[in-house]
Amino acid sequence: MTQRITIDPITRLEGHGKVEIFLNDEGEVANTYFQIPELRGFERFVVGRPVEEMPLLTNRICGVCPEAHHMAAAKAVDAVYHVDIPSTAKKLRELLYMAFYCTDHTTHFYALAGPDFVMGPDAPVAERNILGVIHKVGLEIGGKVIQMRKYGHTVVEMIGGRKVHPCTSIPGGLTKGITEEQRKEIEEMGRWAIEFAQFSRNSSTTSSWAIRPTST
Amino acid sequence: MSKPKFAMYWAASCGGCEIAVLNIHEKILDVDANFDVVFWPVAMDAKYKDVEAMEDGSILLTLFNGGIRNDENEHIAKLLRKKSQILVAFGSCACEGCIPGLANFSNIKDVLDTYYETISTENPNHIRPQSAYDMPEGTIHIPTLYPVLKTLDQVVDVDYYMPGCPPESHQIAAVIDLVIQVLQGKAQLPPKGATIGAGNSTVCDECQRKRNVKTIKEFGRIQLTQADPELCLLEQGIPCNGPATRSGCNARCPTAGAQCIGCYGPAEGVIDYGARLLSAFASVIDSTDPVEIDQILDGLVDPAGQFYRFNLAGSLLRAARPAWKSGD
Repeated sequence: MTQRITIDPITRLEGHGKVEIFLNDEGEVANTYFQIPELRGFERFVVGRPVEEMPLLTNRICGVCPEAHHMAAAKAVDAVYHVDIPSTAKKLRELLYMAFYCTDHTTHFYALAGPDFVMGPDAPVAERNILGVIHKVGLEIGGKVIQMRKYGHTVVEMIGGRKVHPCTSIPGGLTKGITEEQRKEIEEMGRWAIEFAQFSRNSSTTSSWAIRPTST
Repeated sequence: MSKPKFAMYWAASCGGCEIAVLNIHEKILDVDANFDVVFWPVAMDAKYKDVEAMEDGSILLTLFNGGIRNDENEHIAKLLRKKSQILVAFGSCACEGCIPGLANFSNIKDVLDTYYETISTENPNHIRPQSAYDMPEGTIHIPTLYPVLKTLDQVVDVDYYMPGCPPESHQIAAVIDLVIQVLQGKAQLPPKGATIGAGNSTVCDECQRKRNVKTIKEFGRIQLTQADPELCLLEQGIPCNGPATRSGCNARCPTAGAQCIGCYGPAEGVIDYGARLLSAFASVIDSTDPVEIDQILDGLVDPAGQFYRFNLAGSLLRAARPAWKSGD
């Protein structure tokens, strides 16, 4: 009799998904299906909206990575006007994007995927999550993870206007720049982030909470 | 004594509300100290069957974000309503439909046709999603899309509303502090049905830009306007939704040079957001000549989106006529 394993919902990522695994009589995987149980309609409902709203509407495709959609839409609407945006705007958008992906990688590594490795895949659900990771690695390291995310979102807000769903990209550039003071702050946060990244990479292989391969 | 239980769930959502909660930063440790998180798909691996197995009313507080787009969203909303003492419509999607609610301008068939039949889509067999599909090994299921997106309170009883796309993290932190105080017997919960984590005024009241006497001869567009960073955007002809939108966000977007797009929903006492905003825009038009007024209003290139961008699903209208037509 074919056995069926359902994983519903998949977790620790943005978005909805479920997985159906069918086993054959020998207990081996006969087939696996990955299903997406959601659809919101962006491709349809952006039609008829003003072009300058594209970076704002497409933000809402994903609240974990709105900066990515914001950037893609910003470049698309620049192209609609056939403009090459000012050099400062390019640098600011790039800086926003870098702060975003450093924060996003931190979120993924420590909060989303990391717990399965740091706590181990057999750890109980109640522990196999970011709070469990902080209990295990301690508040000093947990505090650094929180700090990295805080810095990243601070930079996003300085350039993008908001922490989630940036609003400053318009066709032709940005609605505002940054001050010299903010630039210095961003540089300081950036240097701290480099140390945090090196620490994360080193700890993940050598420390007491190092990610180890599973035994079987 | 075990800690009270906490859950957070996303229906037709983007995850921004989840990130906004994580962005309370160290305060997440207060949540950890005061609650047992039992279900939160972005952060932990509990499954739907785990929620089904919980006792009714065993979860003290559930934050529910995302709109009700399909039958699974409705099923989980009803499930969490049963299992929770306090259910909060968290974020604009659950409160009023938010951006996914814009799909309510179209018929669901048109939405699917756009998805599955574009110039860049390989779909020679004109496949559309089926709620049940027979594979060689067994039948697999996905949810059925509803013809219109609904708000949370259109399917279950809601205790509190927390607006914003997403709610600002400082507001979330304040609400968490309040809930912890309630747990310690030091404060009372607001009356059921209240809007929490937001202000009682409009975005204009929080905006630092200078306001003179607002009259305009035309509506412009932000990319075509050399906007003065100190002056009210609406006064410069840029359609800013501040006058009808609830305060609580510190007017973040106008502070950054962008028009308010209305993500905090209707201001206190506003029954229909679009109607209120339309009145506000009409009142700044500098003309008494009907022909000239029409010409000025033509500068609003997308009235439907401008007036119902975030709250179409939760408005009196709920959807445009095409959405209600039962299709093929």
